Amino acid sequence: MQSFLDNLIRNAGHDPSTWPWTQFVYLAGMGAIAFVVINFAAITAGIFSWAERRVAARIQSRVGPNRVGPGGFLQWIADAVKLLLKEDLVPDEADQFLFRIAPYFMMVGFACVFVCLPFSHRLIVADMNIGIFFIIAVTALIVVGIIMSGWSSNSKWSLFGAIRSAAQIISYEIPAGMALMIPVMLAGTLSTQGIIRAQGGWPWQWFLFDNPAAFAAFFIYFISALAEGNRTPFDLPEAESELVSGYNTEYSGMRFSYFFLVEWGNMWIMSALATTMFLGGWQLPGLTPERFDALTGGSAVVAELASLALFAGKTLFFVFVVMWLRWTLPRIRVDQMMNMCWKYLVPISFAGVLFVAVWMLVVHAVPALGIAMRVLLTAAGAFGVGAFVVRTLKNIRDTGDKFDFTSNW
Amino acid sequence: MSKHYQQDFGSVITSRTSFIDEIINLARKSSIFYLLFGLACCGIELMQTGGPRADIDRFGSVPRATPRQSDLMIVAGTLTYKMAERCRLLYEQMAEPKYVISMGSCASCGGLFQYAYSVCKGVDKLVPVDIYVPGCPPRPEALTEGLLRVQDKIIRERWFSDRQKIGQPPPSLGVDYKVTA
Amino acid sequence: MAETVTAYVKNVRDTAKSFWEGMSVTLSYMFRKPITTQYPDRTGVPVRDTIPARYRGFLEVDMDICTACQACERACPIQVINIDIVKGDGKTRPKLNMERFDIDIGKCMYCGLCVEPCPTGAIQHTREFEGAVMAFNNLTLRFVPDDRVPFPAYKVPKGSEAFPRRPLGEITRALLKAWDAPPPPFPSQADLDALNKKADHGGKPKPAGLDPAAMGRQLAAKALNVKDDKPKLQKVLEEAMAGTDCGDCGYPDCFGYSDAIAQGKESSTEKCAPGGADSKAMLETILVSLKTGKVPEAPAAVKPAEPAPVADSRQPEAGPKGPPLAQTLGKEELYKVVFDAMAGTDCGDCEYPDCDGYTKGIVYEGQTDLNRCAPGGEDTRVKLYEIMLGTKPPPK
Repeated sequence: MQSFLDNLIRNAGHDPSTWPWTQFVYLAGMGAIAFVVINFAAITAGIFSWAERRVAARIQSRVGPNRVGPGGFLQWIADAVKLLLKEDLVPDEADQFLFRIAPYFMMVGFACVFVCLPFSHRLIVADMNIGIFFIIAVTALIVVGIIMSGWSSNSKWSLFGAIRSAAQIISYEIPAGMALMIPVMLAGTLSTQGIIRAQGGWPWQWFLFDNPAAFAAFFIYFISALAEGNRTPFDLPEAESELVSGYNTEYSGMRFSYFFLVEWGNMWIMSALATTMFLGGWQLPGLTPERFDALTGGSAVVAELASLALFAGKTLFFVFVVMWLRWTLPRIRVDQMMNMCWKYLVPISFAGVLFVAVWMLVVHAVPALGIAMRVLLTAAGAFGVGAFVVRTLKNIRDTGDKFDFTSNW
Repeated sequence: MSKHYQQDFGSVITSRTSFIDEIINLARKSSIFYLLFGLACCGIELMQTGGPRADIDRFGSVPRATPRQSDLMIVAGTLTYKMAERCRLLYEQMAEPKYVISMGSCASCGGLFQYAYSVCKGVDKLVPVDIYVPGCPPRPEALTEGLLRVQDKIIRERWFSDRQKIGQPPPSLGVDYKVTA
Repeated sequence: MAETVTAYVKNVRDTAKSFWEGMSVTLSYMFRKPITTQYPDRTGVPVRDTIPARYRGFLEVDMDICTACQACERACPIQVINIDIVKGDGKTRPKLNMERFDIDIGKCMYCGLCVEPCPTGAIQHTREFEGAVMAFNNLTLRFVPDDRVPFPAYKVPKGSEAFPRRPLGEITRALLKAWDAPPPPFPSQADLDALNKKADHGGKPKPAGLDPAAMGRQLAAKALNVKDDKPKLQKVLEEAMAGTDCGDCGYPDCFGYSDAIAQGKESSTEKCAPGGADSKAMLETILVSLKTGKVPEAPAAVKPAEPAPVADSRQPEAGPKGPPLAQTLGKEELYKVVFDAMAGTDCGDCEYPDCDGYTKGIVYEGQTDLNRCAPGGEDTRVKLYEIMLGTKPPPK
């Protein structure tokens, strides 16, 4: 982004290194970008809330919100306006100051991730060379917000929810971090754009199918990301049947909506990160990054838009998977959640890191082995997807029902 | 655009809504989160109302477990005196603007337990009730109709005017409940 | 070690497999048609018409075929139905007129007990269920719209088996719609005059209410004339009854009850529930005059006709007392009477298994403790002492 602003200044006839207003231009640019990014995050979170309700409804043989706007699409605006107008309650015995600022901590932790989250070939706020490290670091701010909200509410349910959430998020940072280390090792860089460039457009060029450890790491990362985002089956912190509403029990109105904005916005973050790290990001099939860089004029714009669409498509698919998982699985117990983390995900991810280290040496020596493994894993993945589709169609057929996606909207 | 001086038969609401009010009310009426407050057999029908067949989510209504985030309290079932205190407390913990549906005979007037020593003779003795839904218990469609009547009521309100001026003030229990966390 | 590893791998495999199965199931549901009925506006037919025919929705009374027998009011366990009756002599004014027929559907529990005893099927459950209101008082269905214009009871033609009923749900729907309607305009002077004229019975003076004492004396005089002609005596006796053929007396119709009295098989005068205290007083007047052979004098002397008409028939009447029922009735009759006096809850508080056992104990086995019916309380005690000993119960 800095180079973009520098170019703007140069086009206006100044030298950015000596012109006195350069810093102000930078500040204005940062403000504008922050505005765009936060609005993007808020609007996608809102749309996801509608989408999730529609998906949940379909999975439960319901219809879902369909009265506000076409197909109920404006439902999220109605919710937002209502929450904005609702009384902002602060309980009498709450810690007023902490209670009020806790949602902003969560918002900050959430919005900072967008700084080095890529959208397309050129569209990224800042391509830091420590991108993944930065993302894992700022995500931890969300825990601070959750604990603050739980503690300051002065309510048992809030505190229980906050403590559970802290235990959960901190535990799952480890497998998530270790799983993300595997693409980092394969790419040799922490920069998100660098990791995408190290992959390719075709599925067999993705890190997902690079080797068995990377394949496993993808699932470990996805499970851990679900836990960090407090999504079902890891929604223990806001378990409605046991803790009234978890850490946000005492929040109402706009402050409550921040919590949900973060929860739904996190879906984009975890899916975009999975796409970046394992699924080739914005890479277009048949167009290497070097040739992409060299494109100019109209074809560059078309390719840019195509890469944006591809990235968004992959990400939205994973957003759908997250919703789909939520309405498939029941909530697990706290001990099961801890078991899963410390007994399964952590050892497997450590083993995966060691395996990849060895594997890279082996492939360096015998490149054919790497290609064979990629082909094998890609075939296995394609077979898995095919088998799943067949299985789903069989489920529909077995109940004597038929495929019907258009009626009763 | 504005509906001048609409009247409701029964409890008279006279309102004059402006354009901005209508927009706000459209949003408010399409997003009524209801508090899960099932007390007896009506609670089962309340759950059914959120279930696949009736699906109250079509109108943007989802259940919330905490009173802080709810707009509508559906008192579903027999309200005993022991629970009455909690009912009042929950109502006071809800954030404004808030509405109450009294679902079923027991909640409306005590119903068949009217002669019982332990049953509160109507939730309207404790909190201001907006809509009474008859039935024992009302079927899910009847509760859906109750929700639509609440929407009718919301669409005629002036958001910036004090709700207490529209509805009757909540009757005092003689006990000063301090709403705490 | 090997077992641990096997279990470990098995756990991972089971997890993957259950994810696989579960997610294919939910995805298959996602692509199928929802089962939601999009009440109220996006359904093919109104939801009301999809409900089973025997659904117990709001109650409805077709006043055109209501006999005013009040069987529903008596059947209701929680007093949801309220019927106010004004009585006439059957000539200048119909015998039974309903000033009020209210059903409080806000309190009703939709048990259907009122529907069963109805002789004509006037009261029925409809399939209506939409009745949300803002004011609780609106939840009372008033089937007699104006209490100044009482509704005459339907007289059942003898031997009829079917009754012309309006389509089910029509009346209740009209009453429910009225809640949504704007309030009626303030009546003009012409409307008020028309209403008052109607209430005044077309300008004529309002017919006098029934005077049970006077009518009882009239009937007694008639009865004395036909003392030995049983069929004619039966007709006179039937005139003293409400004439709804409700069957509450245990006989199929009013003919059965009056015939039994005329034949001397029946001695109780208080079985006509719709007639209430009025019928009881008239019947007693007739029977007393039949025994004594002369019509009682108008103002004084007529003890049985004197009690206030509003007196609760369950309270023991202040009148000449004969020997207790225990000495006059047969064991089987006595059993019925004693059984009626109990609360009928089968609570077992009396140390008998149920009410039947306690009754048998009193009637057949010589149980002398009459204080054991806890649910019945003081009422049952009074009745049992009255029946068995003819005395007031001793204070506890």
